[in-house]
Amino acid sequence: MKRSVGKITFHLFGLLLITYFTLPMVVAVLMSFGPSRFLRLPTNKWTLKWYVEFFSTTKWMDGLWNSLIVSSLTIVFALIVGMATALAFTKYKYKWGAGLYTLSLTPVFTPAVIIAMSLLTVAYRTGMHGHYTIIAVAHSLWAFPLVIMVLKVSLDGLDKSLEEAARGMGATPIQAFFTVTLPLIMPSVLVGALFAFIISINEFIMALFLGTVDTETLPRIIYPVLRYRLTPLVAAASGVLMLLTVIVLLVAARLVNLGKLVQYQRS
Amino acid sequence: MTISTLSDRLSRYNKFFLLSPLLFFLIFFFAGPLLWLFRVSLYQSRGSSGFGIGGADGKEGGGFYVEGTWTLENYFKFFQDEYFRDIMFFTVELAFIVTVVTMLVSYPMAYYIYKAGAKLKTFLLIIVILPKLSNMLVLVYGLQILLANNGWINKALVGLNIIDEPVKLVYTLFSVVVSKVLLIAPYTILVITAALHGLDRTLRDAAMGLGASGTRAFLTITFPLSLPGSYVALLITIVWALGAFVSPLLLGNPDLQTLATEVPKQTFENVNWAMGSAIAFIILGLMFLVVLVFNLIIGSAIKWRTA
Repeated sequence: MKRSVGKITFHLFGLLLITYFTLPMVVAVLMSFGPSRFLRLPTNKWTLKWYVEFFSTTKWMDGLWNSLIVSSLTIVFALIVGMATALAFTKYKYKWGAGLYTLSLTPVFTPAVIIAMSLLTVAYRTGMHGHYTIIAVAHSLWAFPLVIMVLKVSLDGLDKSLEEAARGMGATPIQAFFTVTLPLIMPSVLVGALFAFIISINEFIMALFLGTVDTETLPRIIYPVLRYRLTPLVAAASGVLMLLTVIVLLVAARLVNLGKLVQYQRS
Repeated sequence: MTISTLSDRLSRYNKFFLLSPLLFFLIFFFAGPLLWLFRVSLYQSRGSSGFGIGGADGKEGGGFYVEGTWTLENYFKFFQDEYFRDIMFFTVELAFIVTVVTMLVSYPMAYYIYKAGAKLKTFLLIIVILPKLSNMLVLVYGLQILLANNGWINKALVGLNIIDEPVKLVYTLFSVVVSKVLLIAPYTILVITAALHGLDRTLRDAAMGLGASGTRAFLTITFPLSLPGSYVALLITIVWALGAFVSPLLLGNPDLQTLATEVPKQTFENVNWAMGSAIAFIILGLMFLVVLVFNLIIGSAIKWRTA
């Protein structure tokens, strides 16, 4: 008897937490389909007018475009740094390897305000202030550690004899990498790119510090609206951001057999 | 020169070439800027009369700080001014509350996921990661609506006769903590879940085989063994909580501001980059201090246990 009471409490706790984790998002999306301009949840009338307004406002569309530019650059930076580093740590031993590996992961644990403020002072000095590149650099500091972690797992599980066989048959190291290793780790590379995209498209503190009116990303436009005048247009913008994230996740799931990836990493 | 020595040379070259992108990013975009941040914090600030970029005299750094100066006055000002001290104490207080709540939420949830069946486990993991994958502004917006005076939470509480009138929940310490925990907990839950899954199950089974009850086996075996992993989660929580920015800014009120929200205030509103940098550096210092103190405490605790 006592045991089952404990179990029910435990399940109730789980349910409460699931609600806590999902409800804010659900409410935000619901709001974007409601007719009222005020903070009233829609009851029976549903409308797409906020989405129409979103897609017909130049400011919001510019923001969306800027967000896509910055996140594309972030993917490029994060993949270059992440892939090279993961390869380096699987192929070679370094004197201070363990320390360097830990150091390579520290940026992701550094709060955004610190990264943003320090890059701002440097960007200003070097004339990069407000440029897409510096925002993407900031975002990739959060993204490349994740790419390293994902690729490291995948590379560690790789059969080394395959690349050796290719080398034995006369392939140069670069040929062997592009024809053997890269196709084998492609799923993880895509997952890494996906992480980079999601981080960049949603990040806002660094974009706030490092961007200007010309390079305003979508979250940076949402922020003052949230602070000073709430409208469901914000919900529509949030809805677009979430839709983008979900689409990318689905595309990735289609390109890559995610289940197989998990199995592969287990074996 | 034979082929093999050539390839040896190439691979030795490769060994460091492959690390160059990482080193480039760490030096020029991470460590370097942090050092420069410290340098900027040592500039003399130029009152609050700047006119945006370019400054009054149009020279580099014109409106933001006085070129060529070295001074500790920003730090002195910070620790002498009651305004800044209050913000610092509140930041630490908030970090403490957030850390306690996050751990109280995360550990049981991680244990719940650990105990769940395969299908439920996948579902729960997706739910837990979801807030991390979505925009934090979306979460804040949802919470602003949920916690409003006429929001669902207040309506539910009134409907259940727990309270007579709607309580002010939004723009209070409550809403700041609720949102900050939501932003951190996905990570800590994943870390603790991973730690629990890494445990050797046979130990627990052995304890129960020797007659220990489920609760006792948990308290004497599972819980102590999961502590190292949970400790990592704890440190990350403290570091992130000390850097709280979005929650106090969008769900707090003027009395509930943190050091992190003070950084853009000084930098952009007062156009005082030197002070902004000094505060950013003080946040960094606080984080190091906390991690250091915790490592000392945990280190001596381990020594005491093994002695």
